[in-house]
Amino acid sequence: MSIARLEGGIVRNRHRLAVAIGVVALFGCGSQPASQSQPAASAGTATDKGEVHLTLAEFQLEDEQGKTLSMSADGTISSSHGAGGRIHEDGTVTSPDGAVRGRLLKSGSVVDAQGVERATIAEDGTAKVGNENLRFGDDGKLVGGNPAQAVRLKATDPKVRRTAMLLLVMMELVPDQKQ
Amino acid sequence: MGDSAADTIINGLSKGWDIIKDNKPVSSAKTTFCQAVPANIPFDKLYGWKPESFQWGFTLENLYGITVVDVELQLDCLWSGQASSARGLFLNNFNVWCRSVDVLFGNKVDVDASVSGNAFNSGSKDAPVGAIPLIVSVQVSGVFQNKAKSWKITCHGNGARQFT
Repeated sequence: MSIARLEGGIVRNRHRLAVAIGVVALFGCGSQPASQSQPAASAGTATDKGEVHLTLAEFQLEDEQGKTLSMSADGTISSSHGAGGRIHEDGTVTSPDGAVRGRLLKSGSVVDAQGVERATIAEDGTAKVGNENLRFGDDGKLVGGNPAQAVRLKATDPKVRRTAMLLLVMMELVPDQKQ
Repeated sequence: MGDSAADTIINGLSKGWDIIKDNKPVSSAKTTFCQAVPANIPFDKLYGWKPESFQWGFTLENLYGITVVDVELQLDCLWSGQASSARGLFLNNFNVWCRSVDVLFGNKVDVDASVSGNAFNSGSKDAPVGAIPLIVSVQVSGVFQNKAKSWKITCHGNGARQFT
């Protein structure tokens, strides 16, 4: 385990120490994403439009605690902290500030902003993150991953499973600490 | 202060407690304490306590670039406890509790504190200093992966503190 970031210092009385915490592999994937050290392709910029290969349609993800994450038909992402950020039809994911955070390439590779592959997502929405295989079942339940942290997809269009998996991957993975 | 030194240093209070459970602060953490006081001196004979507080926190950012876990913790203690009948500086009401916790979709946060070993004398035989190490552990349970982090915090009756 490593401390990825340390902000501020320890001084007496009133202080703040912010630490991004390290990652421990407990489910066979942990901090070793697929092909983590091999740059795949640049995530590009928000204006660098690629080929359309992703379905945009409304869906909602709900976790074990009842917290939700949703996407509207135009790709806008909403969480309990409000709306902002988008998933684009070419697989690009932009955060609320407009920065490109990652991209699902047509090949199925999910690359981060530095172009490093972090996961793969097949046409049917099945993902491989590290050694872990994940998919949404017909009932919307996530199959694979942490059994204590169940996730359910609520969507009418089954083609959106791949898009929902992309959002889940972007939300659940932490930045590569080697970078 | 007396001519003799304090005897064995003990923790007569709690040895562990929950701080955050299932993304929610545990209210009893604010009133659960450990201590490092002399065994041979009644607590009401100790005086000169000085309050101390320290705040710290941790954040977890995801690949999407937003903070998904944001926790603020606070350490409180009373140090510089003394007795007229014996030499030494002691520690009381040492606790860690949650000031705030904000967790986004797909994560469950638990934080607990546990005393590591026993209260001990970090000073000398003639000038005892009561001290006790506390381990604060964070577990973040996500959909794909778990994350963990812990801090070892040792507070001393002379006001010193080690934070690793």
